[in-house]
Amino acid sequence: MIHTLFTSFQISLSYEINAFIYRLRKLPILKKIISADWYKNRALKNGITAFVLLFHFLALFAKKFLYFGIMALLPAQYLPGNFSSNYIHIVLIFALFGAAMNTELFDASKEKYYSVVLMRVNPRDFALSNYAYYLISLFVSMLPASLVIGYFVKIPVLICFLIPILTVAAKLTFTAAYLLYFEKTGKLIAGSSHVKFVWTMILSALLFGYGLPALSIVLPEILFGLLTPLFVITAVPSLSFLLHSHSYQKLYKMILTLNTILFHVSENAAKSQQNGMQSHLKLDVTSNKNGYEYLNDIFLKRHKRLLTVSAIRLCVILSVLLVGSLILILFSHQAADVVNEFIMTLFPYFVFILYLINRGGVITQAMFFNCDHSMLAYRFYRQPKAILRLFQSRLRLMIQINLMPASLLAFGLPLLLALSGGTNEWMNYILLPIAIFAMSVFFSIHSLVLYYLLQPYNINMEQKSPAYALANTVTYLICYLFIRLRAPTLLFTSLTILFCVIFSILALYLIYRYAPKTFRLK
Amino acid sequence: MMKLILKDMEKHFDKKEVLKKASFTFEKGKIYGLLGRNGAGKTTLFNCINEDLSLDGGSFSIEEDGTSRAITSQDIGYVLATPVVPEFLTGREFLKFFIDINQNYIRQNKSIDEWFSFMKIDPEDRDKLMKDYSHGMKNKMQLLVNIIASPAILLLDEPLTSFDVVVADEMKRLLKEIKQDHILIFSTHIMELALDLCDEIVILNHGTLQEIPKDDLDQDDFKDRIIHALKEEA
Repeated sequence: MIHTLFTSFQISLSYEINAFIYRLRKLPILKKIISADWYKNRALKNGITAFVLLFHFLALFAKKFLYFGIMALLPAQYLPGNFSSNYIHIVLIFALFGAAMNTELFDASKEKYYSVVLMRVNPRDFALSNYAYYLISLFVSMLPASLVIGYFVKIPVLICFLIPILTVAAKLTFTAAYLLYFEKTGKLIAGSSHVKFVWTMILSALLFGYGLPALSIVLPEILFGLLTPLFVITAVPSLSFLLHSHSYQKLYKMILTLNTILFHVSENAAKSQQNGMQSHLKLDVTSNKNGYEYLNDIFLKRHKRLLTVSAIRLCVILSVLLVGSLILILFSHQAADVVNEFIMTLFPYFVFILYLINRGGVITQAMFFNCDHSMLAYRFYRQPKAILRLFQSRLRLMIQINLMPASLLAFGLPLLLALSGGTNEWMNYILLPIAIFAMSVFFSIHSLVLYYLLQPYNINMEQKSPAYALANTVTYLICYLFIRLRAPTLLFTSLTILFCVIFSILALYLIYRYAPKTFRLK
Repeated sequence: MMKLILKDMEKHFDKKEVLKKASFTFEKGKIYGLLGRNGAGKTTLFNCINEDLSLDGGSFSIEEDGTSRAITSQDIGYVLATPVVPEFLTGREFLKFFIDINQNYIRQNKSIDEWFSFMKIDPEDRDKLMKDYSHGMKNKMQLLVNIIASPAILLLDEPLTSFDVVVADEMKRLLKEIKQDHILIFSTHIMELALDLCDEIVILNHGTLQEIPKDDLDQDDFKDRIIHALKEEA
């Protein structure tokens, strides 16, 4: 059993380290330095292994501190009532729902697939040794975080000890129950592919964990003392059942299909998502246009749902927010003042908001997976003329989709401004909507230009460009930093409009210059 | 007479040299069977000629009536081993789109349905979404658009392996029918297919191209000669 655990560690470590070197070799400068020989360099790999192991070890503990800190300590502080009672309540609820939801044994993962399916490791040995490791590492990593944060929250040390014990015992009990159910019926209840179950559990945990204290209802501390022994008692036969069960092979046969694995490898998630959309294709729409317009027109019509669904959803949310704010400012002077000040001095916030409502990422992804992926294999499609023609019609499409939510803002904000007390500077009423339109167009151009210049996918629909990922992160960070900026709206809107115009002209120049060379499969 | 001339083509990935001064002259009117072992670089050679990959050395050009010129987009058709077609279009829509945008280069004036019949695609399949096409049908569509564009050079990467025996036979006839107007290069590692269809056998081994002359050998001796050449160490 120990041997099996060791082997499975080695398999996933090798995978991780090779993937690490592979990713390093994709980076612009490092790719020149790092040769393919690194894969067979033992000493070097041992070095990287040590580094990765250390990182895992630290991450294991850090994650638990973050968990208790962000999920329990922070909300407990802001919720009404007693700080430490809130904390205990949240931790208890999360431990119970977490144990029911997060079972490890029923989750599909790459590591399991490699070990059990490809390397033919004995499923029972693999399942038991990995599950044991999971529970032990959970207990060991949880304890320090529970004690340290518990100390700050000033809860009894006994409860700090009970938290990891309850978690492990409850997990054992739920896992055994699910496995028993699986043996009797052949059906799975939990596991990462049971999206509905997982989300129901998460939402219930949040609802009960934060919702009850918000209503000033908290579970009494004594429940910890009652539930822990109860679960420890049920954990004993559960453990014995798990140790003696022979259904692990059958279980793995069921969860480790290629489809579930593909879905859980993050780089393939987008692909599965898009594949799901394909079943919605309808034959009954057609187009009377010609050439590239024809292609684009049919593409738009057949993928309308995929392309516009999230923009429409955003419109609904924004409308609700706008109407909500309108009602608020009509009834409360205080709210009106806040809204007025927000619009007049915190307009830089809207850079980030417009970044968030920009649908460019989803749309370019849809373009690639459903059209460019196959069309780029044809040489005529990569002709400069073709690329530029299609870029134009796509840009129009992208701008139109993004303008749906943006125009709500563009008309809603000046209205809010006027009704919340107005401004002495009438130019604000003109510049506000123009700046919002400009930013919306800017983000549309930005996403499409990035896509055309850095086309990040390969023929297997995997994202292969670190540059694309980097560019997206930088964009996010810059937009995020605008939140901290305080500037008078008049000045800021004028500068924004100017910037958007200059950037757009520059970006279009880059497209005409370079896209014919860069827009191809990686 | 039109020729495709490859001159000292070189391509390497990291330290692995895939093409080492590969040179060859392909002529119009013949079907060339490009044989090579797994991983010999057949697809790499095609990708270089199609300019999907840049060369590390050497060049290739078209020679027409004694004058040579660079290859343009319209000169090359490339049928990939795994067919990719825009799945959200029907076969008919794809052909309409293709003919629309390439109308200046298309020489034969056939209707869409005539092209379908030429490729032996059944009427009931013509208006289906291509996502519902079988692998073989997608391959047919890919071959068809390349034939419609009628490029001087047609590169076919393992084209017949996905077809059933009946369709493979149809396609063989079809390729023989169109060969007088094209330089047809056909990569495969199935020797019987190459011997059956091709006029010349070229092998790609250790990064170089080499013609295997049939001379007056019978089929079995010719096979031995090819296998011997493929086994040869560098």
